[in-house]
Amino acid sequence: MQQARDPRPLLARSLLRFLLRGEAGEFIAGDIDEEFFAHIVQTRGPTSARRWYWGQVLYSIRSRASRPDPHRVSNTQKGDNLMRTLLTDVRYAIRGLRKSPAFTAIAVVTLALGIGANTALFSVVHTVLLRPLPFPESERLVQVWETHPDRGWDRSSLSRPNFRDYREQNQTFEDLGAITWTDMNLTGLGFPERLTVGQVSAGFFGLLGAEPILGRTLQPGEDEPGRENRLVMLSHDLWTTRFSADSTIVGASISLDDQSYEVIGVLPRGRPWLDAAQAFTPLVRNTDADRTNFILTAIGRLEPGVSMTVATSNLKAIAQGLHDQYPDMASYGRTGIRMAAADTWVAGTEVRRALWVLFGAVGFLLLITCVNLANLLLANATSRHRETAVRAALGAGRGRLTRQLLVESLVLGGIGIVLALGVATATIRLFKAFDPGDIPGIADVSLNLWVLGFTIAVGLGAAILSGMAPAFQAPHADIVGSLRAGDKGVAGNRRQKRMRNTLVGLEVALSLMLLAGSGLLIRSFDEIVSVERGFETDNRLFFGVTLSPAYEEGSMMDNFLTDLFARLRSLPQVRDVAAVSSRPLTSGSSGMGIVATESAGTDGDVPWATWRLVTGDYFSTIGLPLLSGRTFNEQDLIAEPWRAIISERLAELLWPGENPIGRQANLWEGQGARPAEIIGVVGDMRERGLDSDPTLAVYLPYYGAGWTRMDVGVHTAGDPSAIVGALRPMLADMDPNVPVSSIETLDEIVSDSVATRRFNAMLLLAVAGLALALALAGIYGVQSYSVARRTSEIGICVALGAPSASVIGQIVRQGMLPVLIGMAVGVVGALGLTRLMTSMLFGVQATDITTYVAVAGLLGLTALVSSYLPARRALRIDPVTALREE
Amino acid sequence: MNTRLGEFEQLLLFALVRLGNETHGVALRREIEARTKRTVSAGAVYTAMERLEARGFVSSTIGEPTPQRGGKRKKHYRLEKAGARALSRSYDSLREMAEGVLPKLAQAASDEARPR
Repeated sequence: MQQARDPRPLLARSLLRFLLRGEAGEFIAGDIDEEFFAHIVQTRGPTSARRWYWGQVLYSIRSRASRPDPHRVSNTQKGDNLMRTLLTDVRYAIRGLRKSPAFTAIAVVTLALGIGANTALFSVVHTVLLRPLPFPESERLVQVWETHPDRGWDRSSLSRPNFRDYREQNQTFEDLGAITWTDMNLTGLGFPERLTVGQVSAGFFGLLGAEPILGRTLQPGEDEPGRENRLVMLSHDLWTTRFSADSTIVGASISLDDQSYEVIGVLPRGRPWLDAAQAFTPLVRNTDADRTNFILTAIGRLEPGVSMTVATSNLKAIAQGLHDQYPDMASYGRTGIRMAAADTWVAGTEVRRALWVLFGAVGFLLLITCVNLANLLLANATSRHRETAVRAALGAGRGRLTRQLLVESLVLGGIGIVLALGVATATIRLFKAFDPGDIPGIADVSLNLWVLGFTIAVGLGAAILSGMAPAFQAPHADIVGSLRAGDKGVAGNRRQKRMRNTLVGLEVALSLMLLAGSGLLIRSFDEIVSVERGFETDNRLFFGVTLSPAYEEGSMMDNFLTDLFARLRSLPQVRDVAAVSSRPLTSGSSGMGIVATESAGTDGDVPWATWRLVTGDYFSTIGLPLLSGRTFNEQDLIAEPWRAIISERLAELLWPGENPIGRQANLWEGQGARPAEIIGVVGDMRERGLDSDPTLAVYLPYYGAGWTRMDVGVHTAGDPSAIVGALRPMLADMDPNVPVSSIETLDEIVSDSVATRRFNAMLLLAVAGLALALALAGIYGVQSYSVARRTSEIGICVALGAPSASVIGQIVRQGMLPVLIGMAVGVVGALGLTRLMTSMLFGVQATDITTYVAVAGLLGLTALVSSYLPARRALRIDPVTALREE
Repeated sequence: MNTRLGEFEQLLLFALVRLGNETHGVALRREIEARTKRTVSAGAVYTAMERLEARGFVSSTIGEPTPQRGGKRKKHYRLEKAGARALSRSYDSLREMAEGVLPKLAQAASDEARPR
């Protein structure tokens, strides 16, 4: 059930709950909530109300924190010693941090960015990859495919009769369920809409364990022919968007494809499967269905205690029996079974991999943040050398000094954590705004207790890790030397210098790895969008139209097409119009075997081609060149006789080096071959996505097919969106029950098809950019620091007449040494790590030289600038002043 | 025992007198905000009242949890004799010190009269 959103800001509420405990917390939170709901929400806008809530929470926390300790009097005799010194340490640390606001600000901001990026990514990873499925005992749920190794298919859907046989003959499943998808027109409710409808076997939702929120799911037998099958379950989404969450909907009738369906239930919100379609109808058992029509997606619930391996071999045995029994299956060669556990349902392997890579990247960013902070703390500790020495001289023990430094970094970490939650909230909002559409469940991503716990753990871990460096250094300080030398410190403290340089090198190495990774993704993206597509995208528009089944009769469909084309062509901007069974870059048809008729029956390979129904102007509409022969005209009806246009690569495969025009090819070879005359050859195009190879394609005439679900392509002069406004009225005028759907320009279709890659590349680029900035800040800091420490030395050199170039050169050389070493280490690391990204790459190798050179060049140059700038400052040192300081 | 009251404590006690006994935090806070036009947090009210209670100036009873408060309980405050005395003493001192100087004060606060 969808609940009204809590108007109180989640983060503020959690802060209040965590920081104000006990009775005080209860009374204060109660007061705030009471007033918030009784007055504030009613009298202010939502933003102002949230601001009020935040103010109350923050000021309340502050007044609790700064109140005088009520037990102070009794505590003076002998309190808990550790606690008391710890409190002193905290107070001391806060005082110290306030004294150097620039240092504090830089430390806190970098920490907040590092931790915040991790928190944001972790919330996504948690929701998408780690959260359990909403079904009971989901570890027993699996997805089932057939494999047809002789065809090279490793995940094939199941045919209806095979599914039925698996379901009835197996001994390893509690139940098997199947779903297939279709489109239906929802009419009679305001505007008509094309719905994605899932046809499910009766036990589908029962085996998942999904409880309907209203009514019921399908009962066993309701998918049998002869029973009442016009039943529909509504998805939560459809129920809320089209039926205003009407709680009396069960029992009502709705019109799908002009037939009346009874609503029997409403499914809960959630994923997977519950959101697989907008509505679900029974998958009516079809006894004489084709065993080679692979259309069912199958899932199952294993019997308790049965492993996937056992179940796989059980189904395999059944498949073997079917293969021997039914000759049509033989043409697909051997049949095997493949299963996958349910945890891949929410996010497929590709998404999972991408998320882990990104999560790893922000992990690196956090490491860099830690290194940077360690460096800052180290510099800060060194400049407070004298203070430390005084405390040691006054009797502070090693442990005490070490603890003081750790407490300081923990205080920084604490502030960092609070700010990081803000950073994470903003980042998550950005994710949602740029969602490429295939990160499942991203709408549900939010900060929750798991994420909060993760953030606190990461923040404190980062703080301790960064605090280590100076803490280990502190006790080694030479007290007498430090006191004598003053705040300038002991000249040439080699140990510290080495440590700082190591840290810089580490930062550089980590940044280089991130830069290399993002560089490779960007190169891949670039390759993909500039790949030879075969078709043209500018000034092209597609929209979907689904006609009711009544149009399948006679020539109604063809008349509709002719009428539609005439009306579209009457618009002044329109140059070409065509219909196609599915628009480019969608998976489209299931494909067919095709072979030259004269070589049919020989043992040669049967190429597998995708097919599309097109009207004659399709090729000119999408700019696909007609290489030879002719295109279809209105007299070419499908199968009367069979005529086909094929793609260039397919022609070359069937008749190498020969003219294919006029030759015969068997369509659907192995599935009741239909000999067809080849009347034309067109260019190759990437029908199935820019990142898959150009498809072998067969085009058949649209006319005569009665294919009611069409995509219409329009090529316009100028901006194609100019005609969008005219489409709906035009269609409504032709038939008010025809929905227009998915209006997109071809540019948008192409851009959507690479949205995920763009998202990944941009995200990794942002992380790498941040990492680079941190590394440069680190280099700059160390250089400035070393210049400042060597003021007098430089002063002497300049006074003695050393040329400025040599002074600068020396400083820059010293600064660049750790950078170069870090870059070398980074290249080695990147070569190892980017291999994990191979499947995310396109057109570039993980070892792509260009990328590495570019990345190393960028890093090297910016590092040079960062180490040069502080060095230049050294020259402005007035020798006299520098010497006097000594 | 220290019987002097801070400014915020005085405001709270006055609010309590004004609103009568059995008043809880929300009402006190609103009263002070409405009259003094300054922002006060629930935490500050509770903390100060806790201090006043420790000093015996007010006492409190704990009410039943209510749904408006998300199931959280609330505290009702009652002014004690010691609190009433401390408040009138504070106010008397303030009044004594203010006696007859208000015009001067107003002049000092206004911009034109400021000596250069």
